[in-house]
Amino acid sequence: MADTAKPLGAGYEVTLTRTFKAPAALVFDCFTNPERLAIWWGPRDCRNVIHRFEPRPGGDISLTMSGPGFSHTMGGEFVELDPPRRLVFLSMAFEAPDGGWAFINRNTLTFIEQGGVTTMTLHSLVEKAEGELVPLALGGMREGWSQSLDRLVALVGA
Amino acid sequence: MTPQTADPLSATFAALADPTRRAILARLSLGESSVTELAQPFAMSGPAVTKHLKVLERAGLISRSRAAQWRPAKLEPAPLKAVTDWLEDYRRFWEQSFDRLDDYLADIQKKDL
Repeated sequence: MADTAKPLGAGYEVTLTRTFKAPAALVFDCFTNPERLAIWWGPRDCRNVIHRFEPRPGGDISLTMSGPGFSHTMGGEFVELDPPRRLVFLSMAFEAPDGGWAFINRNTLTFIEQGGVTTMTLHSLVEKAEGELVPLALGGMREGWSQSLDRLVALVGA
Repeated sequence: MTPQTADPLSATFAALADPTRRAILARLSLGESSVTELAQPFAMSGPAVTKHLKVLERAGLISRSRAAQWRPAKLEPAPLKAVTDWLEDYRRFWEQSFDRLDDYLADIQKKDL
């Protein structure tokens, strides 16, 4: 536990690439229009209640996702909006009773449209992992992430 | 985010909200300790430390041996595993969200025609 000043978790990242048969402006709007976002955000059977959604730099995000047997409130903050090319926002998960968040991820989305198809890349970086336990936990997952990334490379390369 | 981890994680974070308890866990990550050993760096009484240990034990973050009179406390890795599992879930969350986004985009463009 000597490394608490420099959390091991910070710097872990996930990259996902998807293509959508839709113009970039519409895909982008699905992220910044709360009525649209509420429809697709979250896993299967997830319903969203949006508490705050301010799509401007520094704007707040607060929503509750719920479904069969789960309910989870997350927070966030818009950082950069450059429609329809680039969107950066923070997502915050697991609010501790003292008001802090266990995980803060910086999500960077880029949208490239070609021939009516938009290729979107999500790059998510663990910016902060609060508490002394979370970095300890993340130390053990180096292998897990690299396996996931290998799978992704296989997927994207295919 | 998933039904399996939401509740245990809440218990974990409730236990972690207190800085003394976090410090106790940090100390236990180095090896098991007795109440007396744990009380020392915090200038706290034995009973006060015992109270914190009970909260940590209820959250499943530590266990206390009954084998010895001094009942050493030991860090339990299971809740930490829950945290790492959650990060894997984070990735799945996006994958499933994008599946839904794909369906939604197809849907609204059909309606636009």
